[in-house]
Amino acid sequence: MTALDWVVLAVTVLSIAGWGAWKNRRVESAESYLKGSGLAWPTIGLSIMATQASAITFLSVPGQAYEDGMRFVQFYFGLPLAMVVICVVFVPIYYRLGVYTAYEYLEQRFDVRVRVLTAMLFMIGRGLAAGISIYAPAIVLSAVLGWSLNGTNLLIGLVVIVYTVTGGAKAVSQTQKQQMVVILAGMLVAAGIIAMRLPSGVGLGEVATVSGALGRMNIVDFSIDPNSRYTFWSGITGGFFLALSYFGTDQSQVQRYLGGASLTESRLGLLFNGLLKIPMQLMILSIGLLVFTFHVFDKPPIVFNTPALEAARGLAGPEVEALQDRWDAAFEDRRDRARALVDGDESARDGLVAAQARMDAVRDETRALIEREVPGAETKDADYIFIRFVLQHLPPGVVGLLLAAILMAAMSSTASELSALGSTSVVDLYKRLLRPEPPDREPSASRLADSRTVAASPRDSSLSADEAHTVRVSKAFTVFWGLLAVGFATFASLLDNLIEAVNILGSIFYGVILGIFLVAFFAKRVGGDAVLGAAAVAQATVVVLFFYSDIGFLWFNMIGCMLVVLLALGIQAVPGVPPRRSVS
Amino acid sequence: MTDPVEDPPPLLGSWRNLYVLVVGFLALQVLVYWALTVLYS
Repeated sequence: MTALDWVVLAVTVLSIAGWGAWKNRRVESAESYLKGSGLAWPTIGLSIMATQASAITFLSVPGQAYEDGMRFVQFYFGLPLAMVVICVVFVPIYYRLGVYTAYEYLEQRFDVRVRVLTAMLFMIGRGLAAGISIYAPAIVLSAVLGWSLNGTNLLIGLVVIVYTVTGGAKAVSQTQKQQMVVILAGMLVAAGIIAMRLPSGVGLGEVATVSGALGRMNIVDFSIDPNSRYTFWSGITGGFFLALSYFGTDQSQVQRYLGGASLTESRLGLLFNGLLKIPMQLMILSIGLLVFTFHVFDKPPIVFNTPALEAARGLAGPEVEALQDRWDAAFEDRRDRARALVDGDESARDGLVAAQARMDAVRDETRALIEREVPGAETKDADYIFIRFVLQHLPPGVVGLLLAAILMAAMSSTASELSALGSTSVVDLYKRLLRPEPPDREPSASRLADSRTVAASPRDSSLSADEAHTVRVSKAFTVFWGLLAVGFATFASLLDNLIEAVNILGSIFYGVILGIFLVAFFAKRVGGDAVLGAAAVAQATVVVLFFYSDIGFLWFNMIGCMLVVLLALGIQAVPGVPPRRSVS
Repeated sequence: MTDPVEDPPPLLGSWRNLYVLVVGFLALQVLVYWALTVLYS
């Protein structure tokens, strides 16, 4: 990295985080701190997108297209449908009840037990995920750039804690707007430069031709193949359930649109995400195709985690050299045949595919060798493809911009998680169980306010004493969750397959949470006892299936959800089970 | 508990039309991407 890159990186990251903290240094109200307030739809929409798109999205999705093609985009086909359902069903209910968190609604619909259970399921899953949001990019950046892993964890974590604690949910959403603009601009600049770096005679049409011949233009697959992870059908069904659960019931997303100035602004922000999410993912995947085509004509390393390859070379030099010779020969063959295909020679197509197969075989053998010689080294190197390309082939300044975009993606998703965890801790646990409201208080919107106006601090002079206390406790919880996330990220390297473990953990809980909300929305007669029993049985069943079956973990979302709904309806039908209580 | 104000969206006249736009855009994308898949694979 050049000095210019360091300047661009530092100025971009710190100025946006500093701006967010400074602009929101004065807390207007407990409401604006806990859920944001008065936000317009562009801020909400960009904030929703920034929350979902973590750093690993920008690191790994181009690599996924490089290795596996464009089919991953189908994973998002259910998302626009989920946005519509959330706009029609979820958001009006949240607004009508004036809730700060999604789980508050469950107490008004069922009882406090269901609210606390669901809030705790959220906090377990999201608390671990916040650590991964920090750790996942830090491990890649530290390996590629030689940065200290713990130092990178601390850098990301502390900057996020500062501006999240300072300004709360509103600062998070407003900062995310700026961050998302820089992230998207950075990715567009990267795509433009990569396109200009392609050899003469190779334009976007030729990119599609070459990558299509090598199986990378597999955008839509209508086949009903259970062994294929990404098809139109799995995307439109599984993706729909996942998006409905994530955007409709996960407080890190619900908090984004509850901060809207009105129901209209919240809906427009969600629909903005529904319209732009798939094109954005396609753009990021297309960057992977551009990098792939660039490397069809410019020799890539055998594996992109080059520190691991060099370590293996030091331990088994002759074997690595032999693999390198085969790699070089197969690459030259592939390059020549790709050039022939670009020049219109269709007969080169079969030879091109065969050369690619030889290169794939060499990569597989090299990965096996690294696993043997360097135990613990990361050999699934898709996450390293894009960052390696950025460092080696993009000009000074742009490298800094792209690294800033990746760091800001990590910060934006982590900030949402910490802010949501802080709000849930204070609203659903502290204020509900440890410091409950007097019984004559209004249940929601006005309950954090107090007629007495007492200065909480010089900066928060407009807050009532009760609000000031709420904000102070929320800040303390946010710091707690932030330090926990940094600590978890610091020790994460001691565990194997951590990212997959957290994804599995999320899938185990998400389905049950969604099931509880679907019962709340659509099964009007079901009461708290029935849904609590159903949730307990469904959660236990999912855990048993996880340990004693071969079912893929993505299916746990649907299984958990369906079990809760069916069991709740069944239990409610038993004579003597109390029905739902009336909600005024 | 108060009912939220159901303002019409700033474009297309009704929320229903806006939802149709989102779903229709999804359908259009799937169609275009499928055509690209067939064309280049």
